[in-house]
Amino acid sequence: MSETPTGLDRVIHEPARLRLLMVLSGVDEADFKFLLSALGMTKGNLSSHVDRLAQAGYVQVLKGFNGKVTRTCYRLTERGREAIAEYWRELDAIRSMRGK
Amino acid sequence: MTHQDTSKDTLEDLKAIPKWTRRYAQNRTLPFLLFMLIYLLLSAAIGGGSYLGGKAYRAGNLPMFWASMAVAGAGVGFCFWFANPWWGGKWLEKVAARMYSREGHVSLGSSVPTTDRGKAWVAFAVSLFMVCILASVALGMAGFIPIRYMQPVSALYVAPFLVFLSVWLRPVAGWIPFLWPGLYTLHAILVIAGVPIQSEDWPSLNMLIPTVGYGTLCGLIGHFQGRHALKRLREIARAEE
Repeated sequence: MSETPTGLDRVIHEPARLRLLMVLSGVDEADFKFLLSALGMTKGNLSSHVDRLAQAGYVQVLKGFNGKVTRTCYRLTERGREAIAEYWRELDAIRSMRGK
Repeated sequence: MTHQDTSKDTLEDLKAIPKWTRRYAQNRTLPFLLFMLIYLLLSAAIGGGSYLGGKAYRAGNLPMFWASMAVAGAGVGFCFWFANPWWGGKWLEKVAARMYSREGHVSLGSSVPTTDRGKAWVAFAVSLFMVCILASVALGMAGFIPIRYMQPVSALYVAPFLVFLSVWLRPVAGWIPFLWPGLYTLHAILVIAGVPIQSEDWPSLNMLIPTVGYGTLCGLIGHFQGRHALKRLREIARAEE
């Protein structure tokens, strides 16, 4: 796992990816269209962020069919859930240290 | 995003994203509202058809009698089709997907029980509910329950059944479904207390308002809450980077 100088997970410490992970952490699964509509990203941008998160093992990609149309859904993995929790713990710790 | 320029409010907003996403997913209630509308139309077709058919028969108006019976019969037929999860259920699922197609698919998991114990509980609750409906209708027709007390008596089994449904659906539907049995019970208490909320001229409304009326109200509250949640979600999740 690559880290920022402050020790935060670099994969998560990117605004678009953090928001994407936070959206997925609220639900069981969401499809590409929902993520596009919620996050307001371009298709290419969303696709590259999702790929990056999938490579890190934080997001699981589920390919399926909705009738005759293919549908790609995304689900947060257990590893992704732990990584987000750890990220917030570290960020809060940094913030409280700087606040002192 | 640097730590220096990230305000506490922004971080708190980011932490709230799962809450708004979940609240939106729990409140996609348009299919439920459609279900209520269909239920209302079926009630009108069956109840209205039977009523008009009886009236036409007594007046000797046979064409009107057969037309009314055809409407009531079509209503009953559609009722069977609609109640079947493989026909009506699948159709409603497709319509629901179409209703939210612009916003995409989001799921909180399945509400269908997977364990044998869960399935047994659902089967038991639904069977008991059906038996209670039949028993109260039979007792009402036999004159043991006065018409004006049909709703309060029905609250004895409808409210617990709706609570059961709400508990069962809570992970995927949130807290709003609990309003329905609450309103149903409150309505029954008001009727028993003698508050004039029942119609003498339209007795069928005395059951339709607590069932379809309050159900629709809960669906609408859920719908507006879902819209609000989606708006908040987009405001936070699309924030300037």
